[in-house]
Amino acid sequence: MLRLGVGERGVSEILAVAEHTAGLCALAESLRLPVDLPDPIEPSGPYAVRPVAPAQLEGEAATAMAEIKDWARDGLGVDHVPLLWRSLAHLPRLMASTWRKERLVMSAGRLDEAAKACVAFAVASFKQSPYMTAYTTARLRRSQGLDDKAMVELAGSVMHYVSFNTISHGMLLEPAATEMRASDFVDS
Amino acid sequence: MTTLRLPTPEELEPADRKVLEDVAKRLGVTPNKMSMIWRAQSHWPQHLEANHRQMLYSFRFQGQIPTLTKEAMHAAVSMTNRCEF
Repeated sequence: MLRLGVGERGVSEILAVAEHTAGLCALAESLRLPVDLPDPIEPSGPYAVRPVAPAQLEGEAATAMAEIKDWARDGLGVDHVPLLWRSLAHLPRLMASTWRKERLVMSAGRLDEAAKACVAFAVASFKQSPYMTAYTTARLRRSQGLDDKAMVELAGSVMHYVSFNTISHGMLLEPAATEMRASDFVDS
Repeated sequence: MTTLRLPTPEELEPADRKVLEDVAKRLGVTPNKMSMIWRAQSHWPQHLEANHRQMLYSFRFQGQIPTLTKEAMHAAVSMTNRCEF
């Protein structure tokens, strides 16, 4: 990535999208969230975490929830707030701070929004999270307009990464370089 | 140190060596100059060739997804998968 010119900030953005998405995958699985995209669905069963109604929120959390609802219309193509956010809202400050981080991490920087959406999809797929794979797929389909062929191109690439990661693990390959800096890759 | 030592082309059976050399040629290098990820597969060159072909039609496929995006995805999955290589 440094060789391709995104700089240390760009690599940090990739790491941020990866850790943020991996964290959301863990959250979704911890709460056993059913996939509510594109159609709304409520959790069922005696141990399910019931979502919070947006009208119950106040202050910063209410503002964040309103932003999520607006974003979801264009970003995911739905008129409801996804369960991920309504469930998190049991801890309003956690929901609001996670949403602020989501906007920071997924907004264009050294990498554009489309690239970051693809990175999030790749991590959700790798983590085999049904909820976050559906969430990131909806974002790619809706806000990036990816068609079937592009989705298979993404999924096929993830398949390749996992294959080669497995080979490098199995063979205990060591990295060719460590403690890399962007300046190491500037053309002389 | 790798799990299996990395063989030299001279150690391989002629038919296997031919497959290895063909893939190396497509990668634009000699077999000994291939990246470790490819050399790690050279005990079974047919497997190496299958993976190279699969890579051409996925990661390296020039479709709708930009190369930079695919490289970023690769880095992200490798980070998440604790892949040091």
